[in-house]
Order: sequence, then C-alpha cells, then structure tokens
Amino acid sequence: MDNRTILSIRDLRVVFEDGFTALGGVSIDIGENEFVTLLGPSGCGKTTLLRCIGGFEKPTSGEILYKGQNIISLPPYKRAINTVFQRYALFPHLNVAQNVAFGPDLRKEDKKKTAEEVSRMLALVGLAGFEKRRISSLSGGQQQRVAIARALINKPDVLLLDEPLGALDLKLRREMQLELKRIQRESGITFIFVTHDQEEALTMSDRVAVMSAGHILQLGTPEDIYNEPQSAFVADFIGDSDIMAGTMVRDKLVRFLGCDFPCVDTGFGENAEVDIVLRPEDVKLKPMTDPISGVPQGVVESLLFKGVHYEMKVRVGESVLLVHSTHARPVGTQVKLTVAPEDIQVMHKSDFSPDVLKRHAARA
Amino acid sequence: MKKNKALVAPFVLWAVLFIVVPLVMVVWYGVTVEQTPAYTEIADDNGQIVFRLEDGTVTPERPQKTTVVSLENFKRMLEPTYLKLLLRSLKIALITTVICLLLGYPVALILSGRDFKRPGLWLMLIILPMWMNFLLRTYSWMSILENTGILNSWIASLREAIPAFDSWLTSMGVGKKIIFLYNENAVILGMVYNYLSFMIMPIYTVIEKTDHSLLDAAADLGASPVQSFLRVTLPYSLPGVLEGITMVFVPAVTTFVISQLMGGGKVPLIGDIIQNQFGKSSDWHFGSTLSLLVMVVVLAFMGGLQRIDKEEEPRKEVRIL
Repeated sequence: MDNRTILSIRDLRVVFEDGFTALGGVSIDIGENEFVTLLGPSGCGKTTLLRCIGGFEKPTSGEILYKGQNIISLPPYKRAINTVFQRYALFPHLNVAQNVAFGPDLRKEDKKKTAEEVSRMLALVGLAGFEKRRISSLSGGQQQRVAIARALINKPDVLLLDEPLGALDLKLRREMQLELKRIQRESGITFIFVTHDQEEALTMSDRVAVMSAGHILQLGTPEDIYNEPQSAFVADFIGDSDIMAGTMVRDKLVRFLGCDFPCVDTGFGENAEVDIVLRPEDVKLKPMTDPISGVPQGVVESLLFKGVHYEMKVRVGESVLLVHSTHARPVGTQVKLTVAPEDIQVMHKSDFSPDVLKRHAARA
Repeated sequence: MKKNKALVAPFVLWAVLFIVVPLVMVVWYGVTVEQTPAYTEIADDNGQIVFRLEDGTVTPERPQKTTVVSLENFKRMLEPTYLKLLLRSLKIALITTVICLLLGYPVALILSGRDFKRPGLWLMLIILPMWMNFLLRTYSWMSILENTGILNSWIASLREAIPAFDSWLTSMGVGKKIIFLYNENAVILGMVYNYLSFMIMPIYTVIEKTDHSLLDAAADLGASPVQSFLRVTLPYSLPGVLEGITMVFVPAVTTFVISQLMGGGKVPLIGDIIQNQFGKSSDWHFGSTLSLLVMVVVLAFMGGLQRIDKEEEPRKEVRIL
C-alpha cells in the first residue's frame, strides 16, 4: 500500500446520548484507489464509522482528514464523498435516469452531457437501456446497481458502501461482489465497504479492518487476517476455527488439549496463559494404528458432507474440535489428532476474548 | 370468492341506504317543481262551490299541488344573484385553503422533523380544540372579536397606557372600536381556525412516513437542506397536500354555520342559501338544485386535483367526502 493516503481517521470517538460508546477511538489511514472493508458483527461500530465519514454522524471527538483537511464540521452535501446506502435509498418518485442524474442536476450541469453520462454509468453497472424504468419495477439487484451508478456519476474520490449486498440472494451477491471489484478497479475510486460477511470481505478487499465493540482489532490484507489472526475474536469471526485456552510452556512449546505441541511462537514468557486458534483444515486426523505418540486422542461425534470436504466434530476430553478433511471417518471412530507447528496460532489473552465481546454485543 | 362477496353485502346495503338513496332524492327534487294550477272559485247553478281552471274546465274538486319535472330551477340557479354567491363561496374557500396550506405545511414539516422531540404531544395540542363543539369554538372567536370583546378591550387599555400608540392608531384612521366581525375576513378567520388541523394531519402523516434515508441520500449527492426539501420532501408530501386541500376546500365551500356566525348574515355563502331553502323558504326543490350545482363544482375541483396526483404518481383515489 504505497498509495497516497486520501482519508486519515484519527482517534475517532462516538458516544451516543444514552452513554453507549459506538466508536472508542478508531484510527485508520486509507489510500487512494484502495478497497478497504470494515468487517464486524452488528453493533461493532462499522456503520457508525461509515456514517461519520459520510457526514451523517457527528463524532464526539477525533479527526477525519480528507486530503489533509479536517472535514468533521462539513455537512454531507459539502463532502466529495458519496454513499451507497444499505437499503439503496433510491427516490421512488423519479425514474432510473432521474435518480442517477440527481447529483449532476443539482450542480446544474449540461442536460445533454448529463444524459450521456447517465447512459454510460448505467452501462457500467450493466443496466443499459433502463433509463425510463420506474424504481418500483426493478429487482433488488438492479436497484443496487442504480444506487451505485447514482453515486459513481459524481466521480467521488471515495465511495462508501453500507452493506450494499445484504438484501441480495447468494448467487446475485457473488456476481455483484465481482462486479463491484471490477467497477472499483476501472473507476480508480477508493471504496470503503461495510459488511458483516467475512467471505465477502476476504474476496473483495485490498485490506480488511476487523471491528468489534467500537474498536479496530486488526487491519491487514485478507491473507494476513485469515492466516495470522491477532486475537481470538478475529480468528473466531474470520472463517471457522477452533479456539481454546492453552499454556505457553516456553518458547516454541505450547500445551493445550492436555498435550505439548511444538510451535513457532516465541516471546510469550514461560507458563503464560494464551488463546490457541486452529483452522479446521489444519487439524489432521490419524488412525489409532498410527505410531505417533504424545498427541491428543478423540472420538468422531458427527460427520457432515460439505461438498469439497467433510466436516467432523471430534471430542477430545471436554473439548469438541471442528475438523475439515477430504477423508471421511465414521462416527464413533477413535482418532489421533496432529497439527503442524506453523498452523498453531498462539495469542495473548486479551480484552477482546470471545466472552467479553459477546457481552458487549448483547448490550448493543 | 363467493364468501367474500357475501361479506360485502352490509356495506352495499349501507351505501345504497345512505349514499345512493339520498343522492337520487336530491337529483329528483332538483329536477322537479311543485305546481298548483291557477283557478278561480265560483258557485255553480246549485250554489255549490266549484273550481274553474284557466282553460275553462270546471271541476268540483279543489285542484291539488302536483310535482312536475321541470328545469325551471336550473334557469333560476343561473341568475346572477346565485352565481355571485357561488363565486364568493369559491373565493373564500380558496383563500381559506391557501392560508391553511401556508400555515399548516410548515407546522407539519417541523413536527415531522427527525430531531423534533415529542411530536405526538404537539399533534395532540393541535387536535385537542377540535374535540370541543364546533359552535362553541366559533362562539369563542366571536366573543374575542366582537365590538365589546376581549381584543377590543385589550387594544383600548393599550391605548390608554401608551398615548403614542393611541395617536398612531387615530392617525391611521382607526376608530375607538375596531370592527373585526361580520365581514369576509372574519368568515375566513373562522374557517381557517376550524379547518387548519385537517390540513396539518394528512401532510404530517405523509412527511412523517418518508424514509429519512432519502434525505441522507439527497444530502450525500450534494443537495443543500433547501434543495433536499424542494427535490425530495416536497414532491413526496404532494399526496398529503392534495388530501389536505380536499379536506379543507370541500367543507369550506359548503359551510353555512361559520358564515352565519362570523359573518353575521352579511356575508351569505352558497351554503347559507341552500340551508335557507330547506329552512325558512322551505323550497326543497330549489335547494336541491343548488346542492347539485355545488356538487358539480366540487367534483370538477377534485377531478382537477386527482389529475395532479396522477401525474405525480399513479396511486390512490382522492377520497370523496
């Protein structure tokens, strides 16, 4: 990310009237032509952050620098930032072309030029020839495209998208994800995308900011976030994972499930309490006949065929682990479990361990 | 489907009884007149009283009133006296409607504002006076405005207290007692007061239902608050405005109580004349004809409104009554 920073958010706080802290000091720099996704469960503050950038929410404190200028006090209509709203917010009393032309018309741009531009934008979002259609006659996916065209025609430097794919069915979602990515590449606009769908975030983004309880827990490329989650919450939220308590015996040796595992992590100190995260596809099941020793043993409790792989639940003492494998083991089979050292994620116990976050989510 | 049809029966019965029958009666009365043939009473050869009609025939029975179909009343209706009354009614109703719109729209707009606290309470305060008897409300205005009323006594004491104010009023040619009542303005005031809430309510209902995200979207696309209002809120509230106009204009055209009380009989409206026909003059036939005239005018007016509404969006029918 060597791009020039276009938007810089510094220690942004939003405390609602009832005292609820929606954003507890968020800082993030966003580059030109970057696709950044704010990912998190509902109530984590991602939409509030987006509304602050758009100008619809007044932060309690902090700065939003747009090209170096603090825009906190600017009303939405004076910001060169456009938004695609969650439920599109198209004007039902105007037709498709009038909706898209709303921005240019306000700026009193040449009618003929605007009409051409509208057609170009509609073609870009795959709605060529839809100019005269009524909004109420469009499907959800089509309305969503109109909303994007209506925002893009203003040539914003930054486009905010608030869960724009939330109302679409799975197939349409997939299509629109690719479509949005294409539009973002072709238009060269910075996209800030809000979603609670981790798969969507990983597919589309250059960088993902995982948010919870009004904080950004981790900011990084999709690969970083998936492979190197820095907290149990991030690991839990991104993809399937097995999270359990463990003890860092010493550097490169960690104990969990009653066994010692070699790992690659250092610097936790000796006998430190930690969280362990395993990805289900990284847990390997071996038959009891396998000579390996000093590893946990368990019993397969359930078996589901998931298409590409089998999903099994394996009980090891008090814990139940999720395991993905292309090789099915019938329910009741005794197995040994192994994990490669580099596949063990060791994390400090943090404020953002899952039970703390659950309490916060219930409050929100 | 059959079941559903049966469920409609009570309404059909209700509609026939209370809409169709009265309407047919009004039309029937409107197109007929009562006639008694001219005759003279004479004594026949036997000293009995008989009746001779104009064409010379003689009958022992006293000729009776008969109801005959005639367009006579329609001719009479078109006399300048009545047309002038109709025009004045339309004028006053129109002024009332415009004032109600100018006063009511901002109120509805403010009440439906996103940050407005407790709009329900304020709506209640607006509607509350409407729960009182209509006559009572109008009489209280009269006691405020009459020559020896509250307003005049306030002005009088102000004049005593502030000599400059007194001399200024005198220089403006204002007499000791200001006559507020018994003119067109008083009638308009009475109408505005009585019908204002009928303008506020439908407009408020429509604006309040408008999706706030549309205003966010307009602002996001660069619309200033004024532009947002003109391009989103205003077109959105149009159905409510049209409904409010109907709710105010229609009763304002036909009222007779307000003009009688506030106008003191000096500002008769078409409603007064119609009421007169069913009261003092007891000419139900002419009264019905005038009613038909008003009905046609109101229908034409609402037809025009409906056309505006249709242009905006093909949605609901403008309600009659």
